[in-house]
Amino acid sequence: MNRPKQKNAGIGVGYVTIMIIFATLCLTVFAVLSFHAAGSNDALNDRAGEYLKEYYEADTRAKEILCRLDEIADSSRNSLFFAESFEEGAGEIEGVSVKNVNGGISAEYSVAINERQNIFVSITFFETNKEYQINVWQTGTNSFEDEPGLNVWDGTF
Amino acid sequence: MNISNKRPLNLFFIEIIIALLFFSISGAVILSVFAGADRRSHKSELLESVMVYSQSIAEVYAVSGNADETLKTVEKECGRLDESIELSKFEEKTENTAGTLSKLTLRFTEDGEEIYKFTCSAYIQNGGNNEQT
Repeated sequence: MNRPKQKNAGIGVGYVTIMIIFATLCLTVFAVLSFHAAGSNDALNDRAGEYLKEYYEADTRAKEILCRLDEIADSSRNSLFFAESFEEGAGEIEGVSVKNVNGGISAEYSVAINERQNIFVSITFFETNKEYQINVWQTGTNSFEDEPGLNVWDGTF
Repeated sequence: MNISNKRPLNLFFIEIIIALLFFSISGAVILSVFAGADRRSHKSELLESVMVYSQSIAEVYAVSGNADETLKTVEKECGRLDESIELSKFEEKTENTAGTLSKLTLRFTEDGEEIYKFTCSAYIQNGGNNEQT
């Protein structure tokens, strides 16, 4: 009987190529994903670092204004009219608004951190003692009015 | 008969050689991508630790207004930074009749390359005697 010869059961031609292509594809995907993850983390940290820098620069500018206002308050205490003298001095500093409060004067100003955020400051300088009181020293967005409200049902039919 | 038996074996070896060549070239590229990812990750970790350290320094300095005292306090509370990181500082003080405004600029470097630089400040009334409420 003339039967065909049985084929060898070893690794066939093409099998190794397929395995290597599969392994290379897997490694490529892992490499790209890890590079992308590291890049995203790096970009996030860069942004956080930039914000930190911007915040403390704005904080420094706010303290410079506080320093000038305290100097004005100090010299105004020696004058006859504390409130008038302080208002006149503070008026020379751009962006500072003052108002009379009980026992002294409250000065308010804001310093830009970036395009969207500011540091809002409100400080009361007293007429009788050298101390000042920081009422507000906080970060906020430029304007709450700019933010669109939520489109929710107002309760009317 | 012998010749026809050897043909598939030769083909198999040629395939193995081509596949290994392809794998070694792509392996080299993939390894460099992994190394790049590791470098970025290391840089990111350094920046993160430096930022936390800087923030601690800024908050302590805002109260003390003294750079050396601030660095000692932060080192005591937060521990030392990575040994590869060098910290250089520059302090500037402006005095007036009411108090002193101090500015502290910090520069973090690793192997001469700047990682992070930032400035913080402190205002202390009456030249160091902090009387503010």
